[in-house]
Amino acid sequence: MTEENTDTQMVKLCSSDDREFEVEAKVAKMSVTIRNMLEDLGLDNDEVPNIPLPNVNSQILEMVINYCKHHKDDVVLATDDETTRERALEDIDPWDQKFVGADQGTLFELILAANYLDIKSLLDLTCKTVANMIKGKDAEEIRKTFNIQNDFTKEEEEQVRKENEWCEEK
Amino acid sequence: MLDYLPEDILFKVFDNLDGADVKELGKTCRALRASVNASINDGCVWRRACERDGISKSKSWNGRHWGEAYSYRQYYVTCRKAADVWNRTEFQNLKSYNELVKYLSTSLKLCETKRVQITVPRCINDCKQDNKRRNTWPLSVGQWGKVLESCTM
Repeated sequence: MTEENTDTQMVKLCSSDDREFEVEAKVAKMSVTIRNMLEDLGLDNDEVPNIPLPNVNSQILEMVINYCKHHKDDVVLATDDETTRERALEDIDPWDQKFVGADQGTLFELILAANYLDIKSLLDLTCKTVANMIKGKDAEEIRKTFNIQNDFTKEEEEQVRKENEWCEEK
Repeated sequence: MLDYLPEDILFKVFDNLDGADVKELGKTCRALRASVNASINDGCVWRRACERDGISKSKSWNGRHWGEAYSYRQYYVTCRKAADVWNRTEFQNLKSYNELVKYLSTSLKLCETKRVQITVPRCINDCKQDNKRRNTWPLSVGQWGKVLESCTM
């Protein structure tokens, strides 16, 4: 079977809560994890392969599929990590900005899913979004933004303060 | 949730931050402090920071840790405001604190000619005293910080 044929074939992705999503192989193969699974299974028959994804729930899987459908025809340029890295969030297309603009819990679940499914562009996008939420904030503002509990003892806090004393603004 | 992310993912987040933001993150809680320290030891944050700022380790820094190269860079960024020292190879080749102090004196002369004032308060001398006991390279990050702080426009 040619690569083109296998790409138009459908595959079933099964979420952790047992919902099934039927998608084109081309879309599913944006995930390196799924691509490897499909290669292991082989696509040389008429049966629609069923890929279990026990680490991704249906809500997140649906979002990931939407992301992959939207980006399935993207041209993958020769990787220029520096250029990619230096793209600020403002450079990200509006669809992507809206996509990652969901609530924080969903954003973190998307990061974990992108990491598990090995979808580089989605992982880059979500990590960049988190980074943008951190940029320019002080420690207390970061705690508030991400609801982080300050679990330092007084001694540890003093140590942290001393470690950073040299670069604090006077 | 941020503090529960696996370290390898956090490092990817750090890749998109500069050193100051990563430092702030390390001040929020134990878990993030550990990850920030791990990333500093790993060198990835500093490597990215150096790369972003166009610092080529192989070219100029002779195998020094990226964090050290970045400290140099931070020092340079401040110093550049007062004197154009970066492109001078002797600055990059400084090997001890005493050499740095000597070099700063040279920079001061340069500054005078450019009508830019630079003040070096007594913390320089504090560093100098420390280094009489230690007299080794590199300066600690804290010492670099003091030197950096001392250089003002």
